[in-house]
Amino acid sequence: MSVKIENLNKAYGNLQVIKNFSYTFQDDKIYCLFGPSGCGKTTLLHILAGILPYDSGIISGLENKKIAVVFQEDRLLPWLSAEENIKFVINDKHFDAEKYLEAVGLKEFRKFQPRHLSGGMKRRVAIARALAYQGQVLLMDEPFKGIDEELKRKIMDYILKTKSSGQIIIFSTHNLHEAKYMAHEIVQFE
Amino acid sequence: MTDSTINISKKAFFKIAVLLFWLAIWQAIYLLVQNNILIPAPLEVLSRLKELVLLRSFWVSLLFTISRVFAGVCLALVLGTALGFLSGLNRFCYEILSPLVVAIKSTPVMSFIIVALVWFGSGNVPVFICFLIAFPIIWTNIWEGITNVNIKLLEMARVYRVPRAKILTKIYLQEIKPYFISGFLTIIGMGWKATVTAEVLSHPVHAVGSRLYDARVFINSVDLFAFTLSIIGISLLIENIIIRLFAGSGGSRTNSVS
Repeated sequence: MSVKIENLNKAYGNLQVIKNFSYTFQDDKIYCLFGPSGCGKTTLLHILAGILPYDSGIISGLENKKIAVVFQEDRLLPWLSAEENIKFVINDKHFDAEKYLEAVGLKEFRKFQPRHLSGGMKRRVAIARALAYQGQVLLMDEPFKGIDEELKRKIMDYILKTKSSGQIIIFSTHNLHEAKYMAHEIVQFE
Repeated sequence: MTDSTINISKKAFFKIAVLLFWLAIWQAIYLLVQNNILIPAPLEVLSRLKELVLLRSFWVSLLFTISRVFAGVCLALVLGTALGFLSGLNRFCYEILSPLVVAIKSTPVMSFIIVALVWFGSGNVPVFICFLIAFPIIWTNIWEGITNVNIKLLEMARVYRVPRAKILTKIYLQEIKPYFISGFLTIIGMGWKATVTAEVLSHPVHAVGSRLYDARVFINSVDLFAFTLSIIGISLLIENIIIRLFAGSGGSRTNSVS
């Protein structure tokens, strides 16, 4: 079932961030929210993730769907290793987190805590966590920020290759190359 | 000798030097005052302490006092942690308990001791007083820890539908750990003081506080100082053991990216 947004509005005080936004995200497709900073991309992703209330409008199709999110700030538990951070969101003690860490080039760093990883590495752990969760909807807020070009391409290929059937992927970026490479549709924000 | 051995020796030497410095100050004051009741000679106090440690009654008193501190602190840890946790999660609980904690904090210890003397037997008064001194500290620390839990991590856990038990153990307990340790270390020191003070006034049969009281009654300053030194020594020893215990349970990793 697709995710349908009708006349969505969200304001922070007097600042209207999202105004009468309507869109339908179809199953099995990848969407890119494209636009400059402060245009409401993160706000929309947070609303879709269910962690931010909106003022008015209707969102349908997200009920009971497993949602995985790559947050802009990584949101890793600092006292857990990279591997444990992935296992934290999976309800299976014997889950093999290694293949996801390998996919983002961090297999050797699986025992490292976030404080011992660079910014780009933490980002990759957050991506691995979201991929391991295998959500029906995958939301990613500027997922490739701080990751070098070669690795970025490898991770994008992995996401495209392992994308499950019916899965909706929505990600935000400032980078037109990332948008064109990954997305079936680009949603322009102004 | 390795570098680390030299460093440890240096530290030990420095500590001994500081100790000798303060003993010298004590001796100087003693020589200046020339009154054994006001300030006894340090050597006399140390020699009395040496005599005391050979007495069974000394260790019995010490053991009873330690057990009272232990009971009071444990009670405060259990109740303070549980209620602090609830207050941090539930506003209503906080509103109910907060005035009680403020009242306990503001009430003079003496008032509590006098009331407790009416309520309990002399042996239980110090436990109750130790608990009353320790409880607000633990409650406040745990409440503060809970209210400072990283909301963004909780949001992440909610999005990923992480079970509550896992959120409790992997987020809440980890976040309040430093607050708990800091509260624990504070109440150990304060618990000793409160317990001994209550013992002096409630005068149970076996208690370091009762021995201090006896020393005061018989104007025996040497005993007073010797018992006080023993309290300081045991308090420091227990505090060090706890610090080492918590340092060991930290489990920090040494891996890092070069």
